[in-house]
Amino acid sequence: MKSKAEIFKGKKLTRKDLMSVFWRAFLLPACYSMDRMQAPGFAYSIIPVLKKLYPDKRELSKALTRESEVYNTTYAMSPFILGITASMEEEAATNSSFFISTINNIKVALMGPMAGIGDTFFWGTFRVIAAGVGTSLALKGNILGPILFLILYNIPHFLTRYYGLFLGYDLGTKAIDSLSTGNGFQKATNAASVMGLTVIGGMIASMVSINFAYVFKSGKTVLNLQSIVDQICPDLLPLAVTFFIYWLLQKKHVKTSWIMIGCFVFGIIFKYFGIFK
Amino acid sequence: MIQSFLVALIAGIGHIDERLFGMTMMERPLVICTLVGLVYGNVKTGLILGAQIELLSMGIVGIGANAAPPDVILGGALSTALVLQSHTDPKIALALVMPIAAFAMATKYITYVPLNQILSQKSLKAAGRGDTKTMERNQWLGLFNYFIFPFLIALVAMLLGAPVFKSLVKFIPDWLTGGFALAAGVLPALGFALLMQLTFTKKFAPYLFLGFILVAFFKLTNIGVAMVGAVIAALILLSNSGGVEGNKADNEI
Repeated sequence: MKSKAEIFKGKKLTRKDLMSVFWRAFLLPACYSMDRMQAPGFAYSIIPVLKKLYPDKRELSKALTRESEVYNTTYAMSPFILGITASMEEEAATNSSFFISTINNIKVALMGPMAGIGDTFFWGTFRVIAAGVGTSLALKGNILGPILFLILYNIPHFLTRYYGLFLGYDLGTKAIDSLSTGNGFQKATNAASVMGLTVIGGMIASMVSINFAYVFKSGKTVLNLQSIVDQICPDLLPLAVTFFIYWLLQKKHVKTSWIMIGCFVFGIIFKYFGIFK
Repeated sequence: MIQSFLVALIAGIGHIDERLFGMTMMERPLVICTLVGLVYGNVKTGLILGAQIELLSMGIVGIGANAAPPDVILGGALSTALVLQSHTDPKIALALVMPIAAFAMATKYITYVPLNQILSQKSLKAAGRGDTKTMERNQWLGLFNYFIFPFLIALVAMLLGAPVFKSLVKFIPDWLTGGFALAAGVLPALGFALLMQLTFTKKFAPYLFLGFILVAFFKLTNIGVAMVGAVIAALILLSNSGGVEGNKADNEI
């Protein structure tokens, strides 16, 4: 990545302008609406940039209106798109042959992919890993659980926000080219999915707990079902239950709330008859 | 009274984690329930309940346009507070989380959702006038709505609901709590199944089983599994094929 001085060489906008976008972007969904979603927050975040680029009030209101069009993506990825938008607005303000409609076209083109990448990384990977570490400590009553959870998640979170903003500004309209030609994003998304799924697999074994309570007795022989299962594959029941629930969700489209109620109902029944523990 | 107020404050702050701090995950049950535990001087129960509620609600996330997930912030805070203030079996909280969360979700449609809809419209009009002051003010007003309503709902629920709950829990029989304990062990499976919907495909299935085997057979910790996952992720990033079919860009190099 280029140094900050190189990025802003020969530009109207300064690092200070972008830093105020950085801070404002934390309020992105603070005025969320059903129709335009995070758009008020997007416009709010880019106000300092637009104010500097368009001293003329009529130009400013035009720019504010186009930045108020429907917008929605993963929060942590927004500074990247804001950076690109800032760069395009600067282009629009200084270069009269620039197509203004490009700005919203690029924004719309980026929203989907950024949400896909962002959700995979932040919801599916960083949060899962942080929660895996955090909950295993917290279950033992260790206060480090929630603290590590927050630290592990927020390091990549804040780094992505900060560097995403400047990277986006530096790339500008070139961002679309680098997104469509390179497969770097796809590769990174795959890597994140793999990491998340590995951790989920581990957590199925360590966090889900269900065992056979049933013991066969015939004459002198006592047969403990769970110890037999443990010899073949430990934690087989948790794995089976997880895949059963996944199948219910994915193939049978059973609602989450019904599965939850089912867990309690069957929990009470199986416990009462001493089948599982 | 003070404790109810603090619980409501935690719920309110939890709600603006997403709106003011860019979603630091401070809003997750693991953090919220621990803080509620602190309020009642029982951090340990708060931690354990926090971890259990975290696991069962892990997959319940608002992704995409149809996002209307149950309000786990209020669900986690209130259920933990109710069992701690009535000194009842903490497992009861696990059964309370989702009903409370579903109810809390419903309340948002008569409070901050329509209010912020109006603010958003006003901001759009202000944009047309080039009125940045109004736009900025509306953004902070929207934030205020996101804080004040969950705060008030939690406060009312604590002040009115807690005494009722206290008199009800006396009648909970042992077979019920035993069943809840069994359910508590299984519920994380629901969280993981929901997460799998996000990323699980045939192509990636072996990695899930790898993680499972590392823990089930080799007794690796979660941190260990995360590190193995990171190594594989690095291998994918460094490889030329990237596990993606038909990539032209790399073949040319």
